[in-house]
Amino acid sequence: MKLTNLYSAILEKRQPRQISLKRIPVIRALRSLLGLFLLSTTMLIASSSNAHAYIDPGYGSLLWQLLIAGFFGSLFYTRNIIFKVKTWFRTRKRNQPRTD
Amino acid sequence: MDICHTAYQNYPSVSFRDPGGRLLNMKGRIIRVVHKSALPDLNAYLGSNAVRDFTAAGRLVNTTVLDPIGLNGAAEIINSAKNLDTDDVGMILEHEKIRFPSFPYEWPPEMLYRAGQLTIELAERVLVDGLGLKDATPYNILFSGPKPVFIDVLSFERRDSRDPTWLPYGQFIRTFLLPLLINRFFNVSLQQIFTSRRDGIEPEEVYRLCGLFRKLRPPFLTLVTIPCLLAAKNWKGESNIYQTNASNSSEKARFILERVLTHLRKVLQKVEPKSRITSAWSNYMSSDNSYSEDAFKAKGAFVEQTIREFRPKMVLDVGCNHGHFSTIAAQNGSTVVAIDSDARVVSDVYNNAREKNLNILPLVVDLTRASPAIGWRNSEWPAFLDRAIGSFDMVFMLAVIHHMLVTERIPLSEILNLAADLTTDLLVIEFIAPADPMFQHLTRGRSALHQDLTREVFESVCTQYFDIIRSQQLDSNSRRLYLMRKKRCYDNA
Repeated sequence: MKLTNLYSAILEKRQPRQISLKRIPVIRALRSLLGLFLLSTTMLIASSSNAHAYIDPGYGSLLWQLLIAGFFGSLFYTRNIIFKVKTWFRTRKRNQPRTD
Repeated sequence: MDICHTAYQNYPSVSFRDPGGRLLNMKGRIIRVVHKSALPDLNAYLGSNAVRDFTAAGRLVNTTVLDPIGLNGAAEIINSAKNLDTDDVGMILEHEKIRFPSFPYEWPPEMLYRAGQLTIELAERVLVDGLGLKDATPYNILFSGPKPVFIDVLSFERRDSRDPTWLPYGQFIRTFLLPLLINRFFNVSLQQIFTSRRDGIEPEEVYRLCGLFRKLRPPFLTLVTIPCLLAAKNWKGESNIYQTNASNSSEKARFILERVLTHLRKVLQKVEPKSRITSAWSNYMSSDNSYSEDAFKAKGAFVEQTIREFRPKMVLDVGCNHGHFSTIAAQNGSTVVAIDSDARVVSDVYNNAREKNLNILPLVVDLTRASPAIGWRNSEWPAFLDRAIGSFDMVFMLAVIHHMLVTERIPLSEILNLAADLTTDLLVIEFIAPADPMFQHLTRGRSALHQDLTREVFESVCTQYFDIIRSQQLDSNSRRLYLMRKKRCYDNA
């Protein structure tokens, strides 16, 4: 479904509903690539595992939370820049005339 | 005056897992005894502004501190409670009593969703005051009508300001997100999940249910697949993952926590229950029902007149379907508990009650197989019938007994016996003769079993337990409404 969105947006067959950062096709493609990258890294880590009889429940969720927290922690240092980029996109969207 | 029975008579010690305190039910009063070890956290809780706002809005349970020596009777409580170490008592609290307690295995998924929203919102808002939540489970929340109320005051603790981890993260996923996920995508009922498991489901169990492409799509990718793959690598001796690793600054820790909670809130929105699935009974009211418009209006008028005349405080609507008659009762000032065995229609009743702000608590309960008592020694969470018996002064059994008679094969005298136990005073019941088309539809050809069920037989069974106040014929000869009052002598027998 994401590929068809990209396709039709390029051919201008359908106007995107709302011009926001997330809906720009390039950004969406990048996000799905990021998801794919995340998945492949975790599969790489997991593939070297030995199956043990007792698996600690909740361990995976905690580890995942630590990874997410680490990601947000890195965002902490760049949050000013990200805020400026987002505001710039938003004012750009407001200044553009709406094509309704 | 609270007419609610102390349904907890057999369950004096309601909670025992938290080392910080115990919850007791003393003659209808909900008392929490807090041990000295938990006092600093409790004082932080009582002094918090965010907590005050939530309590004022009715989303956190009201708490009063009882003077241990004074006149509130707290001294009597300390003396009479069993197994209580009186040296360890730090403070005694009394909580407002929630009218009708209900548990996640009886909720429609919308209620679990709202409970999850309240948990996240609380976790976010108390961060300002330096507090955090110790656990995130739906058993911390009871519903007062359609509104969730957080009741576990000892869940709040003072947070280490440099700790960026939210420990109940895993529990929130197991008890809120994953049940909502498999309810929405695989139509697994909450009753199946929560009756047998106290702590929800693990990602590994959901992983086995998914096909390959579903595993790779959000929200399954981050909720199920990735935690499973990470857990598969069992790090022996790597238990230091559970130790808190403090970050450099409290501001950074707070930033991370806020983002993690926002992330959880967004995932919760992704698993919001959607009313897409229709069930056998969801079209009942609109299209193929057995009432003409006049008959339906007459039924509504009968119910409304009864409510206005007797002004019941607590009403139980058995087989509520879309809650038309529950709505009439709630609009006239009653507190209503509406039950039906079909989760789809109960969801509609909940959405309606929430929109119009009606005091209706809708639950998914099949009265012929009501929720059992669950937990340690089967006494942590009382059975539905134990909570219900003696709690209602009016019970509706409209267009429902023929289901119990035909589909569940419960004898008529048993049904009326149960009705006499459930209500303390009045019963509004609808008799449907075997000639009725819906009755015929249910019997599936075995109508010979019910050919003895005439109006006279019905009335004679009723008069064993009730006095008939009035009755009204609806439409054709096959449906008749009755208003009955329980016989006084039945109570004393």
